[in-house]
Amino acid sequence: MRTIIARSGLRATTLALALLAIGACGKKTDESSTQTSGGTIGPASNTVQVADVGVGRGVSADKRIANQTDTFAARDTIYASIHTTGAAPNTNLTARWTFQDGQVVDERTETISPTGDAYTEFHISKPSGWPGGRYTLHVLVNGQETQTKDITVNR
Amino acid sequence: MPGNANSGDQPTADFSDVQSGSSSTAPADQGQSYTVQSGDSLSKIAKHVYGDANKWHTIFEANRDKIKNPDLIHPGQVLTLPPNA
Repeated sequence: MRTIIARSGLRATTLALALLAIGACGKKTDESSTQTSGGTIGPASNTVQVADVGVGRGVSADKRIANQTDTFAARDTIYASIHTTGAAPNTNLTARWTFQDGQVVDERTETISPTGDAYTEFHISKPSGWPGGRYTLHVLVNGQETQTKDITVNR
Repeated sequence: MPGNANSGDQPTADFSDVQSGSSSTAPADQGQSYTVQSGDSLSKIAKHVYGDANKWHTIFEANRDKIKNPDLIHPGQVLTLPPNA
């Protein structure tokens, strides 16, 4: 009797281990790991991502913000520098500026094909002067909003 | 009458004279395209284009929207080949 119970226990343990192994295989498939001749690729990732957004009154030659501030005067040209990471051809990077009530002030798209870290600057100006108030910069990658930045114009 | 339909609307500002510009450190070129031939693989294309078969993943990353399985590409598919890969 003891022998029968012991064998039953062994079978149950073997079955449990087999089920665990099957479960592990299923999990691996869910993570979309793909074995290829070139190596293992992990889960799909967005190829270009916004790392940082800076705003200010100017940019340097490398497109980074030179005079950072989030408060502007009515006659200022407002610059934004978007730091992106990753690589992908034909990535649409959009800067949409809105006024406090949501009114679109300007929208501009730069198509870039970065191969690594990159800086893209957008600037807006208004010869007749900016209305005072709060503005928001919306940064979109391929149409998807990724970051926002608030600025203020004092008159 | 205080309750008319427009009473809640805020006056809109005039942004008609706004000027804008942009520039980037990232290259704007779209890279070259490649039409898959029978018998091609990503490694083979990478070896042919970049001289390094290990750069197959660069092509794969640039064509995620077209290639679901890097082991499965089809003759006639037009792939984007990133510059400076």
